[in-house]
Amino acid sequence: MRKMRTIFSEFWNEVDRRLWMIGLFLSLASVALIYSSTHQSPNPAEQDLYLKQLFWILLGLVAFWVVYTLPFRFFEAFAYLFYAITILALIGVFFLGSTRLGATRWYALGPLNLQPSELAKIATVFALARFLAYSSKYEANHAKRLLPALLLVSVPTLLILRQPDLGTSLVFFALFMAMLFWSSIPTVYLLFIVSPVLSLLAALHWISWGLFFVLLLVVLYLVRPGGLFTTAVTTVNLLAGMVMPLVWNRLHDYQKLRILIFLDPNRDPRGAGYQIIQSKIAVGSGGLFGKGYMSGSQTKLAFLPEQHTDFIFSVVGEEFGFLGVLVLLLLFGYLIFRGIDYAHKARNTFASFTALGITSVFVFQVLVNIGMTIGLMPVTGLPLPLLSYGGTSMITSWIMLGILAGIGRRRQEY
Amino acid sequence: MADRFSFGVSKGRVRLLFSLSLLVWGALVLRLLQIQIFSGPRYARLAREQEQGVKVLAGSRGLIFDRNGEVLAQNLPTYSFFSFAESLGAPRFLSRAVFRGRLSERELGEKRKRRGFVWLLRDVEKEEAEKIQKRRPRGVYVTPEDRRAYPYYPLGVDWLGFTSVDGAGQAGVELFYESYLRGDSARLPLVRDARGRTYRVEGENSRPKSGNSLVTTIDVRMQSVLEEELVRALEKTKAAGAYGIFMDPKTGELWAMAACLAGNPDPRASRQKNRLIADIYEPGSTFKLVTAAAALESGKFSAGSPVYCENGDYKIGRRTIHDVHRHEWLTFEDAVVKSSNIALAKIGLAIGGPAFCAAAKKFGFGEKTGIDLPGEAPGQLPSEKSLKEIRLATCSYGYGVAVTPLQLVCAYAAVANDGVRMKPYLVKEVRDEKGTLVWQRLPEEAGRVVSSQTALVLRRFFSGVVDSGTGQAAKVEGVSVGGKTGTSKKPDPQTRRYLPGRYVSSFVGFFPVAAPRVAGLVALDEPKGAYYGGEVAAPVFRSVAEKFLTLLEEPLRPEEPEESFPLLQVASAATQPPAPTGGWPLQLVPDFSGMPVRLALREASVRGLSVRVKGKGVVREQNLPPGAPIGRTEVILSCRPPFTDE
Repeated sequence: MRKMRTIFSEFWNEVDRRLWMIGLFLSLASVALIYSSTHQSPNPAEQDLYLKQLFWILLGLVAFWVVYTLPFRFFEAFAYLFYAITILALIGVFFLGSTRLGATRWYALGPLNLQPSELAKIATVFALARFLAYSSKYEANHAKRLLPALLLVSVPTLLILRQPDLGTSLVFFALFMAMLFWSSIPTVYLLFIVSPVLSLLAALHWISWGLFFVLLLVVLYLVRPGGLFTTAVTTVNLLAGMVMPLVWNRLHDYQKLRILIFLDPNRDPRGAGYQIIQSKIAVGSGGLFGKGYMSGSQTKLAFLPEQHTDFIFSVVGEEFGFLGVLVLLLLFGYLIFRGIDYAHKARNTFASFTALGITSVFVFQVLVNIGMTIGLMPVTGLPLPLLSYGGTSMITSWIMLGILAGIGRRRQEY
Repeated sequence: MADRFSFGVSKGRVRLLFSLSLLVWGALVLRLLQIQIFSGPRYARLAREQEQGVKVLAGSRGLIFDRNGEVLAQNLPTYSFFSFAESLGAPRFLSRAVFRGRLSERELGEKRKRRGFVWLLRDVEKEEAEKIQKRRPRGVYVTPEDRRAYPYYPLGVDWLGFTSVDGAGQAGVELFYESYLRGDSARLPLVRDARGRTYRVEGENSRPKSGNSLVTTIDVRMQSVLEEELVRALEKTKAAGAYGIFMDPKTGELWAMAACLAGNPDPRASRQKNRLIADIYEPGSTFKLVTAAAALESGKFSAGSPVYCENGDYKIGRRTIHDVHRHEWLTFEDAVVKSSNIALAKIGLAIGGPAFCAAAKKFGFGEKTGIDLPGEAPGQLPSEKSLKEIRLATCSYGYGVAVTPLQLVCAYAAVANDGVRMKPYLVKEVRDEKGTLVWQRLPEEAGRVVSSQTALVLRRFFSGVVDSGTGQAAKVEGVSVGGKTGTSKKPDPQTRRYLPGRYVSSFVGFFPVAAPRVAGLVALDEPKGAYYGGEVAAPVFRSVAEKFLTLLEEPLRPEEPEESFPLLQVASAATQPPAPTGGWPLQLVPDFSGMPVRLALREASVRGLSVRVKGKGVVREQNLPPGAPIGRTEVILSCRPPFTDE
């Protein structure tokens, strides 16, 4: 008993209390929000979700503590092993996973639907951090560092894209770009990474694509990143520009629809555009002060689908108004500020990259999720960290917070 | 600070990262500002629009009673089970344990594949629904619904009609009295959810108003007697249809009315049109009533006037009229009794077109009777000008005119009612759900058809028809019956030529002859084999009449419904103009004794006098003496059946 108390007081004294308490506040807020949005649901299966969420939070807190306690040397040492295991898990999900809504993403483990892609985010951050930390010491040629890093990220990205889960695979792209940026690689190389996407966009018309391609060649000539790299970039851009129409045709119908709906939500107001419109109505009707807790009529009346998972932000918007949303953004903003700050202050390079990678995952998910509910981003199905209902998402969020807190605690260590 | 940084990310990049994050956050805030603050009111309006609706609570439909308070149409509370596809349990379990096979596993499986609201089982009776409820199925919900039910179905479906699935009258009195029967629905503002389910109803205490109930003039016992006999006749004669109407000649109240078709077709489909008021046919000999009445009224003929019957063949222009039996000289009375076409044609020609036409119109032919049912046909009378020669001759014995069965029975009822024709009707009272009288129909005269003398003579004629003429098969032991047989050829609707072997055989009559209480008609459409009205329809009339006698000897209405209805706060409710007052000043209690209850009620209603009626029939005693001033006290009238047979 005494030992427990000692452990706790030690934890309490050392942990980044503000970070931990914000995390806890957001998690408990999520319970309240889920209660508000589902407790009166006519579907009895949904009515007790808030209790389940409470259980996930408990598991999350344990996971936080474990991750927080482990030294980052441990993660550094096992980074590639974790990575390999999650890649295997991602492959395995195609054979063993359960399929829902046309996507195979989950392992059904009793009450928990484990989504290996969530863990893959963390493992990839570790692996990439380890690679970049070591290579930044010994490798001067940027191009040679870039290609293995690209490989590390593309494997899980492509596997997840195959599930298909566009939203999560975009998370990998985001963390990749952020960590590369952190590795002092010249900005122009980041542009090379993005260039295939630009090529895709430019290929809408052959003149724009021609201009783009000439520009690319000029930049390559000026930078001279090495033969292999130059060839790779040129080839990929050529492919991207030429296969653009093919890619469009390869997209799932719902993916195409999402992009089109994003561009014009009123295209199909009862169908696919419905979510965006309803979400905007919910958030917008909240006004400055909101309708009050448990009084969000759009939420209560089930106009908003997935309101306890992907669209939980609109519950906040409706019930707590602009002020509530502002508080939420401030809290998330603080967590992100904290993450970048730790990345900046950590003496250990691996820890620094890890902190930044984790933070970028946070930023990206918050941005995409909130952006989606207010019509700034296409609907991708990314959960809002700490707030959306879901076991894997909640536990992963707490693990990420644990990693950040752990790095913060040991920021002086090399 | 910089010295801690081991791998040399430039300060610029750190700053860039911070500012990028700030920028992104700023964009989110701006967007939220736009949606929540600037467009907030617009979105709030959109939200209200899609949340608000109106709940319509349908008031339950009024009931329909027969004259004795038997329920003929009612609402059965039934229950419907529904669920939401997502929360529906295992089909196997639900099918076996909950619905016990009333819903198959496969059906349930299909319902579960849908999204949102699904009906599981509709129109479940109460007991069954309670049983299902007791099994406490999760995710299965129940809601009450009303279903129109006819306890005696298909009895009386011709005039009773039926309702649509959503409870609106489609035929018969259900349609005619729709505005009374239909309940007023209450419209409550409500908040509904995305699936259209009601979330919260505002203004819970506004209640829907139930529809009013109808008390009809039909006696369900008589109706069932009639339908039984008609069906029996259908079987015996192999006719295509059997029609019957029985009514009270004194008031015009219909007691029983049915049109049965051969082959038991679906009653609702085949009897949607009330053939008794919508179908017209050539009446044949039964129409001789008009000729005879016109002749007597004209004064040119009396019962004993001789008519030469041309020995069975009478040439008018290029056509020849035949009689079934050859006669030479007959008295007018015998001509009617023996149903001589030639004699009646001659008589018709003698009185002339205008007089004949006027008589037919007085009897109500060629115009609607005004019965309270939808879809009545007026029938066809030739114009006065065209009624000459052969045309007039054939009309005189019932060809070249078209009538509905109801018109015909009303015409005979007029004779039975001393020459005064009453408007036929089916609904005599409208009461609200508490039983308070809302509207009352009083017997209404359609006019005097013939003098009471003439009516008396005609009754003697028709009595003779049954005693010694063509209608002997209608004789009822102990009661004198009067009536007329008819056998008319049916024309082809296209060619308008008469079809060989196709007849409408009918008998119209009344009893008892001295003071008729019942008038009725029986007609058989295309009987096979024997086809004379006297052979085919008269026996059916007799069987019905025999059974009616026992029904008539009992009080026509049991005491209970009369006692339970607080009778008559009529004064304000009656839509009829004040009736003649029988000589008593309006502010005094009249002498009710000897008055039929109906008349007594009318007298009372004119004076705003509240009355309690005990018993049935004719008033024998009243508790306040005639001539007493009218106060608040209720007058109690003791009644007895007026009528003991000769």
